[in-house]
Amino acid sequence: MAFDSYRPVGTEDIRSSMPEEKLSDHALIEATKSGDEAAFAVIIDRYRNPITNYLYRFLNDYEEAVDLAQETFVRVYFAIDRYHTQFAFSTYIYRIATNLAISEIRRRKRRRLLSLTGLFQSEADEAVEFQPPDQKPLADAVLEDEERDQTIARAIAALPEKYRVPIILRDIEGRSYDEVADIMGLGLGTTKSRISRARALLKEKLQHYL
Amino acid sequence: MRNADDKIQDSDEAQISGLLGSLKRVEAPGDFGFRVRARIASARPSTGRGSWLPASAAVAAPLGLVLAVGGYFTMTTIYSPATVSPPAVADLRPAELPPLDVIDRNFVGESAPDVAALGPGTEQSPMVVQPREIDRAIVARPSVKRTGSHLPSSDPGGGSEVLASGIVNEIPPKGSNNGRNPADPARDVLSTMGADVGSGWTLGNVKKGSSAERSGLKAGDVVEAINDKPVSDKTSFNGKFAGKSIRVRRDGKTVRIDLKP
Repeated sequence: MAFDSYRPVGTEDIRSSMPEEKLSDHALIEATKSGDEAAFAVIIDRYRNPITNYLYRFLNDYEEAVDLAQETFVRVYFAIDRYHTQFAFSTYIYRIATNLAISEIRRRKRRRLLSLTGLFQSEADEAVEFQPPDQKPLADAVLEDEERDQTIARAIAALPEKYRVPIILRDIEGRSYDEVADIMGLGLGTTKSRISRARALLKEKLQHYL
Repeated sequence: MRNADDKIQDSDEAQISGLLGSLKRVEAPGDFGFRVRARIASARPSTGRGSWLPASAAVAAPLGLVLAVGGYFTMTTIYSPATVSPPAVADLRPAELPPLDVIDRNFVGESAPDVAALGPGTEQSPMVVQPREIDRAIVARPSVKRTGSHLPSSDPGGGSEVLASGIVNEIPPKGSNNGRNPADPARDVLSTMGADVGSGWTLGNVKKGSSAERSGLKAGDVVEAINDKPVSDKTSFNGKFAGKSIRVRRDGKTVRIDLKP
């Protein structure tokens, strides 16, 4: 049965009764639990860009980020019965995405250790995103912005995981300290300390842009 | 002093935070939702939500297989050939062979059950068998003496015993009747008594010491009847012959000869 067209008998079409913007994440999750696939489609629309951007900044690889973002929603869908509403859904989905991203990073490291060529490949080289050459002449400002973004992205990707996760969540995704602490499963103080330490590390690498 | 350092540090962190916040955000591709739905559809377990059909099929498929196999063995057991196949021997009789004479049900039924089973006879409609089965009945009765009590009470005398012992001991194996019609019991009976039967029921050579010679049969005798039953190529005796008497024509006269061992 098609994912979009599935409507259990007796289930009210939640989207037809209320505007999407007014539905809370919890309401959408409860509707999804009761079999309303359209409610889950709303969740996808709501979180696909933040999760994709978060994973892109974490991995510095757009294709991999999109793949893991899709996998994040698949994991959420099949584990949605185990989700408890005492946590914010954003915390829940960011935690899943983080775990997937960390697993991917570790898998890359194992692959690099097993690869002979990886012995001669630096992490910075691997983290460089492939960009096809653009034949169109760029304005200096645009060129500078692109170069700056790539430099920042490489600097973030070079951070250790324990610093990379909180600073992306806090400074790029704009999550609160409390939420970052919940996502990482750490105390608030530890979280703030790590964020501060991450900023200090980035300051050393990005002094030129400050 | 410390407050000044904190402000400097806060200022640096704010700059880094602002720098990171100014990064261009990437967006998910347009087919993101479609790909997620495709992944869910492909990874959906059979017992997942909204998938009652695969779940029921997962139960019904092996159950149907078990029922099919069990039903097959049950049917083959109930309708096995040993229990349902009819006595096909009676149906397999050659249709071109006409039935012969009526046989004695009492005699055959006890001593030759294989022959009795061939015919669909009843008390009102006596059993009819083929000559070939009569031969088998005779051969299969090495103890005709013991079954003599089944003979009709109207058959007194030692003829039956004579024939019983004589026939059984001297009956040739199948295929040794000098090329005559194997379905010719009268000729076979006379032959086993030691008298060869030629054309026209004329006795040929009569073996010395045979029961035919002891009974007084001679070469040249023309057999007219056995047990007062006119002989023919299709005459069936089937025990009734039991050797009471034989009527022959000798030198223009009819001679009745009681058979002796």
